[in-house]
Amino acid sequence: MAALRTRLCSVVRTTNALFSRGILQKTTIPAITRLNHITEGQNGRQFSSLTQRITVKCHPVGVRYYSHPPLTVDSVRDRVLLVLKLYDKINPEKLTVDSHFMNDLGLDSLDQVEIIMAMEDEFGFEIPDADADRLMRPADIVQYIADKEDLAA
Amino acid sequence: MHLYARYAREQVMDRISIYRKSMDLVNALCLDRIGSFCYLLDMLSGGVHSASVEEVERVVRNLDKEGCITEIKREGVYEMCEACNGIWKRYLGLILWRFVGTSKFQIGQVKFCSTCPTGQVDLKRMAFLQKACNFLGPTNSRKVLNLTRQRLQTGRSLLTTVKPNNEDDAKGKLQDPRRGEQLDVRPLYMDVQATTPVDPRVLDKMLPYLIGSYGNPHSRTHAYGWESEAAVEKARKQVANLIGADPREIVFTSGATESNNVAIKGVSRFYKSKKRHIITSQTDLEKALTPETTLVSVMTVNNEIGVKQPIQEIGALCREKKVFFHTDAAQAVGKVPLDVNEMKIDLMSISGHKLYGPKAPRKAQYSACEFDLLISHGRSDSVSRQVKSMGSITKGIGALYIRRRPRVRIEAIQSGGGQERGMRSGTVPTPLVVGLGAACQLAQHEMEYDSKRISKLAERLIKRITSQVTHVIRNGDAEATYPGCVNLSFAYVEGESLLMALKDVALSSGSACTSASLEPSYVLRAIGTDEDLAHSSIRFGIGRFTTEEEVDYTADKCVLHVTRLREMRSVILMPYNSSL
Amino acid sequence: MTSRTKALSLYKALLRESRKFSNYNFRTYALRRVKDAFRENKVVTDQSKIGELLIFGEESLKIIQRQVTVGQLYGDLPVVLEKKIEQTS
Repeated sequence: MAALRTRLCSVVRTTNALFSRGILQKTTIPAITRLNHITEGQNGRQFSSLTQRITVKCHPVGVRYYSHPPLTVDSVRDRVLLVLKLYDKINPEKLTVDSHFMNDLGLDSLDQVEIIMAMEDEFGFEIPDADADRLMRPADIVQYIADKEDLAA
Repeated sequence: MHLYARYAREQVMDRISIYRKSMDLVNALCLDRIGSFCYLLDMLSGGVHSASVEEVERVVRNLDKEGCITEIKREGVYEMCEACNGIWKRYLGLILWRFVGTSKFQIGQVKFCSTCPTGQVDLKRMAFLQKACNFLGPTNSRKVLNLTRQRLQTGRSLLTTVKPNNEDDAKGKLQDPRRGEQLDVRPLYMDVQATTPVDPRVLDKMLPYLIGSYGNPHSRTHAYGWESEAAVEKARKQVANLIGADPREIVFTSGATESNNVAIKGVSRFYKSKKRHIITSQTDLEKALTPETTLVSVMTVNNEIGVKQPIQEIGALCREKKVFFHTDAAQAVGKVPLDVNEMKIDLMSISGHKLYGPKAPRKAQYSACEFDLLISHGRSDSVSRQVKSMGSITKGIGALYIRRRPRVRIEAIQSGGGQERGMRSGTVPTPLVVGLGAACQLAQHEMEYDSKRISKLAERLIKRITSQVTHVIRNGDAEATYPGCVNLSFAYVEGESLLMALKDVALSSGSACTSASLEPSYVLRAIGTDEDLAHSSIRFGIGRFTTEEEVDYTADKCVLHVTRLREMRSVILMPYNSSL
Repeated sequence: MTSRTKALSLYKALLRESRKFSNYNFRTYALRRVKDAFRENKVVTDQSKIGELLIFGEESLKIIQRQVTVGQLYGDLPVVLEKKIEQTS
């Protein structure tokens, strides 16, 4: 703990020195705000004076996000359908929640892989190949994501 | 002098501490503007900080009276200032001699940019500056030296803190010398006839030979040489496969220009006792061929308008009359299917950097495209100038195909260790050759896919432009043109102004080799284009990496600027009736 | 693992790696070429040919991975189009 405190003191000293010399670049500021977060998280009060000094020098920290806003099944469904509508090989008129990619929409396995990749980008987590093989309709995808994110049905 | 020395010592240290405390940027700029020894000069003369050129000159003249400076040079030279990209309208060279004591040192020169306060210091010998500082004593001189070095190095960043600049210095800054501004985006590249980007797959094949496998392929006694030689032979086979030749018929050179030199000069010199006639244009070839003709040399695909010459017919005719047939296929190899046996080609020049292969950073004054015209018009003086410029090493890669059956004899141009069967001496550069081989193999593999795509994109570009503006002429034959080279002439528009307006797109108005001159392209003149239209032609190059978005963007911007320039012209010159 | 599943996972890996190219032209080319190549070779039924193509695909994946890294080491300016997309989005 003491070691951490001394290290923090030296960081503060050097950052002050660097700021005064005007050499500190903007790129190092995020590192300092990250450090700020860590120390706050661990032991808020003990280091509060030091962290306060750091925060004064940095850009003001706005709202802090630690995870994405809560999902509902409906929002998931809307997002899935939106992504599919934007995919140029799908006819948006034929698209419904239950339309099968291969049978109804005339896509093939390569297109299905691309769709799953688009879903991975949209929701920010990876879908393994074994699971991805089974997702053949938008409804399946919505169900899968709901299961993964533990949403109420 | 000693008076000055004492004065300087005190004043210098005072100044340094003041600047450090206040972080006075303006004065810091002054330091940069003047440079290290002029800072001292500044001190010596009693503190003139806002040194404009006139003031410094005044200071210098005063010092001159004291015998500190023995030479002032003033010249009016137009140069580019590196800090602000403005044009230096004034150049004041202070060549400082006898700065300290009786020793005569040339410390350096100072150049002033009149558009920005930064001066550039050309410190010829920092050591002498150190000596000059010695009179300040060791600690002080070190401080002064460090401070001035720091100021010089950070001068630019200090300058930019005055004008806030958020770009990370690690990213290269592109400069547009025509406008003196710095770009922070890259324009779209639509100039593939000038050069092509190096395909990542080609780079991947080259890198091992630039890192660990760096042997000379002509070293016969160790593994480095063996592996290098194996790579070179593999590349030779790849190049040969692309054109339907035998690997023994390929000679690696430093580019298509050198290949052309070797082919044309080599063949003509070898046969000069019997035959002395060379043909380079192909109108009425049959009539032009005489018993004295050694060589016919024609470009396969023209680089300005993209027209494909009837190689097969010419080849057949030449074979019949027993005349050697050379073609410069720099623009055609890898893009159009070529077979040396089918087309009866005896000599062929290949260029690496037109084929998504490694680069040739230096271009000779006249390139292959102008070569044939120069010879046919008897411009031997230009040819000999080319020869002289070819004397130094050119870094790039190309190949020359020389037929073995029936044998084409060549007198070597570059003499040396007898490499490449004596036809082209000089160490074969393994990484470049491997890159060329990989590029050729890739081209063979991708030719069909690329050509289909490029024709589609070319059609899209032409349709998009011609549907929105009138009076657009496509130079070159509509059928016998390589689709990737679209040369359009826009009537009532000046080509240079259109190019300047299209600053988001990298285009050219003709071949890069002639872009330095103000004359319109000789190719366009040769095909009978009007003088006005020849001046207003733009060449769009579409390649493997061009996307639909780029083509659309280019077409839209082109249309926008053409309409704008035509409106402007109608106001100034004569009414342009857009309803025509 | 059947060749079908292998091909599909290779496709996914290739697309994922190609997206990481920092150069706009290389990125769009790689994505387009991978998609077109897989589509073209969809109909191949000869097992040995399929094996060859899979090996070629895996080598291409390694090439793309290396070149992505090299491109990112020497960072460069964005192309005009990318900036426009950024501004409008």
